[in-house]
Amino acid sequence: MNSQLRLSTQTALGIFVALLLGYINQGFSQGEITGPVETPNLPKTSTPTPSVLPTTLPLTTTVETLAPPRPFETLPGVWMVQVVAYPDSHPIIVDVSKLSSGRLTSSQIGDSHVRILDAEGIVIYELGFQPSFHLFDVPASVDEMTYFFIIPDLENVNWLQVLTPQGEAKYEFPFDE
Amino acid sequence: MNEPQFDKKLAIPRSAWLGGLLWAAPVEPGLYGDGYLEGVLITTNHKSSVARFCSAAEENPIGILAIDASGLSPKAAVAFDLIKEQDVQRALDLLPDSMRRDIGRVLIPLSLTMALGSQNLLKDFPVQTIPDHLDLLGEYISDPALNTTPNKTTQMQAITQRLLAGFRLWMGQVLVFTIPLLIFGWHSLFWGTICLLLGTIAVSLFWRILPHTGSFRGFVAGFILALILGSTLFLAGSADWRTIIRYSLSIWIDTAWMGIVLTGVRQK
Repeated sequence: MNSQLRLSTQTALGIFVALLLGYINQGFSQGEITGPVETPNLPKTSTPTPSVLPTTLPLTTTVETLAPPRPFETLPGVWMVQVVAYPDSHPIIVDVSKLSSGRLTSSQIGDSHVRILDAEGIVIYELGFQPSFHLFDVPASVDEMTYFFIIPDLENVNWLQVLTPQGEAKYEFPFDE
Repeated sequence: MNEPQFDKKLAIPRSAWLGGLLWAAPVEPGLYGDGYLEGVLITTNHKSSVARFCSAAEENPIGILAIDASGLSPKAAVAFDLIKEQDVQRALDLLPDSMRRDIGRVLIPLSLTMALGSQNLLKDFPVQTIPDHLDLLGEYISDPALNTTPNKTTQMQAITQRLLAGFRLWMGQVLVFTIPLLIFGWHSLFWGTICLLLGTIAVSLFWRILPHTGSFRGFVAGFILALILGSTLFLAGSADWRTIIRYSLSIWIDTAWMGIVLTGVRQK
């Protein structure tokens, strides 16, 4: 059997294989999320209280005013995640700590995400945000930006993942309280 | 394997050094050169090699007999077992009787002598071993008395030749893959290129011990590589199962593809 291809066929097939590989490899650079994002089954509370933390709070600059989280509920037992984003490098999860109660950070439109994954890599909670490295009131640029996110305390979670266009950071559960 | 055709005059190809270097560049198997043949020089149907030998022999009554080796150079074809002594003998047997009677000698380039086993099938013809070096070809072709000592094939030489040939073909594939991979980002390009290289090395190293023939070797080598990579990632616990599957699938496809590439191409 002649198993060789013609050069033109091999080249055309090569481009197809490269596109297929690119599609597969894309998961490495943009995280492992391809399936639908499920709505988290959050615990409910019947005692609304004022917000204990801002939604997305950069420490070193002002950012656009973010929409308040909905519903306006303060949940018991939430996690506060401190993330440092960089313009030319992957983000770093600096700290994850438990709060006795808090209001969840609302999701924004942006190219970056905070995700909670289960053991099989399925996204069970997701927040979007848009890192900005420009100080609008000075004006100037900064080399890093710190953000705080409040995420729910869910069951059967395995990973916390922060994705920016520059890369990803992962944090394995269980979190130290 | 396509049998050489002798019923038509084949045009001497123009050298295509880049194509011949980075891709398999096949020409039609057959006899290049015309008129009285004092000798026949055996080579593979590699475009650059045929052009080079035709150029070196243009002032001598030498025919260039190109044998189908999937368009790979003589060195690469020998390294990947795409040409054997039986192929050379069969091609000579197919020569028209009038030519066979007049052939004074069969010229075998040094690179092809590694394909000649101990069967000595060419005993009916006086064999002259000539160097591959372009500067020396004319001198050897002109003087039948000159002879080069054939190389004795060693496993290490064959592996080195396969790695070198594989590396050249890998570079050609990188050119083909760059833009499609770059569409999906630099990370895709980087990882895709690395996988291609790992696949090339694996297939080249273990070509002769991999089961089956032809491109199936790449399929098998890729499967083994994917198993090794997947197991390593799993044991290291550094990735979830989706990532492990993606990495493993990627290296499997890349290696299988290089197995196809390393078997050369058909002329038609």
